[in-house]
Amino acid sequence: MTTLDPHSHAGTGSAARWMKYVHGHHWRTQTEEFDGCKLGFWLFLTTEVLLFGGIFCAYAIFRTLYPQAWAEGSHALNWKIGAFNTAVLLISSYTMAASIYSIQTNQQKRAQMNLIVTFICGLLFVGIKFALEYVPKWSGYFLVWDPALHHHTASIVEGKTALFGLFQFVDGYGGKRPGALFDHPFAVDPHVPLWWAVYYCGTAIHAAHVLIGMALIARVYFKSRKGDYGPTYYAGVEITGLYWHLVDLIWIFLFPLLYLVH
Amino acid sequence: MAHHAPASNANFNELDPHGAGSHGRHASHVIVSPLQLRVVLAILLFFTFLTVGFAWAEQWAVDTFHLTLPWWVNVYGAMGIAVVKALFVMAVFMQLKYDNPMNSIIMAFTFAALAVFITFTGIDLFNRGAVISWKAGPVHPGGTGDLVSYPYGPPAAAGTNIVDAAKQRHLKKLEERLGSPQAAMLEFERQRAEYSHAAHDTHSEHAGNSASRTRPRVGRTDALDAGAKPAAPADHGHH
Repeated sequence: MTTLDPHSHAGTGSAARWMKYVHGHHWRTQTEEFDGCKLGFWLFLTTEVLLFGGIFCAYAIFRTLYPQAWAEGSHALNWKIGAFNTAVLLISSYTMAASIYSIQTNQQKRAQMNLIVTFICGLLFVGIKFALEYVPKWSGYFLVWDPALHHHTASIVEGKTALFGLFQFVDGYGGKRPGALFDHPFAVDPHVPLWWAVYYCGTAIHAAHVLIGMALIARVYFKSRKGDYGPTYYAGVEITGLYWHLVDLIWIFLFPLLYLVH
Repeated sequence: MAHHAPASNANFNELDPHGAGSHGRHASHVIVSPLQLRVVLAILLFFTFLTVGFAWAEQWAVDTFHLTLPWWVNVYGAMGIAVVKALFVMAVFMQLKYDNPMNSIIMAFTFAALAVFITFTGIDLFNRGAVISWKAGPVHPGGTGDLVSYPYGPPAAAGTNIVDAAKQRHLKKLEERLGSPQAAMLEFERQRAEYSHAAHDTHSEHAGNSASRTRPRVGRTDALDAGAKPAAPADHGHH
């Protein structure tokens, strides 16, 4: 444990807001309030685990029934994108935990930097997911920097671009939307649409969680700039961290289950 | 009359008779050092590398030595690594290791409930054949889309599944563009080959399925098997 002197708080003449925090009158101590807060949040996290549990159960059933469809669908995904996004989320989990450490030791600037990096990692994750995976699979428009584009040079439709030339339309594979649920003419297995249903349910609900997590991190960041959090009061950062780690936790399972099927 | 006075009356706080405030303090406000966080991050990144490497190694071993690996190797290998990673995240990043044990107990019960949920679903699904033989086959017909509404009109032939319907729509479009059905078919095959190449990349081709049959798992990792096998009898009950 680090010994803390609330009066040595650097940078502010008067006491920071976190020093003036008074716990709810129905709690005996601030520690009890903090513990109660965390207990409640863990209970909420169990409902999150069970929400994704339904999707994992559907995955298990259909993969066992239609293994061929699963292998075929999985091969339409690029494991390199999945692995990169896994690393991005793991690093963001580390910076989130580091921001809690910084708050606990009253290093306000360092905490805010860690929160910003965490937010950027979330943005990167969602950006890659949409620009390199969802958009080409649904619309046939590929990001011009997408490495997958070189597979389709024969089918590029010259002049058909979107978003100021950022996205290039590809006929055939791209135009036929392999990720669309009911519109994939090249599928060998008729159950491939089931794979895409599970893939989109799992990853889209996960992506929604990333976006919510980013909103929470932004909130904590702005509150932190006002001096709301410090060594004796940081429940908001702690709980945002728990939420963010759960998002990471779910992706740890989604990645091999979706991208590494043989 | 002897007056019995409490020994440490001065220290007694009637709002906190058991001293919960001071006892709980150390358990709740643990500070995990940055070094420990970095070590865990390194372990997690290493295990991510390992899970990709495992999938590659499995593919390589099968291709090189023509092995017959049981179906569960791929799944259990990946899930084993994922569970280890999840435990590290929960223990250190989420601080369950240092936290009130109640939070760990809650999480353990949740995962136990999830395991019961998945296990019982599996027991039901894969033993139907043992009770009533005609129930043994794959769930039908949800996956073939027989019940979906068609935004571009119904499939050309009755009983056509959605994949065939999509193929016919695509062929029709190509024919409009290229003029003849032969040219459309050639272009379709070219696009399919391009798609297969792009999608499957380093993986081997797989075959053996038709519109009316998904080849069931019969003892090896199916996608690795390039040749078609005869359809096994509905044997889900014996797994």
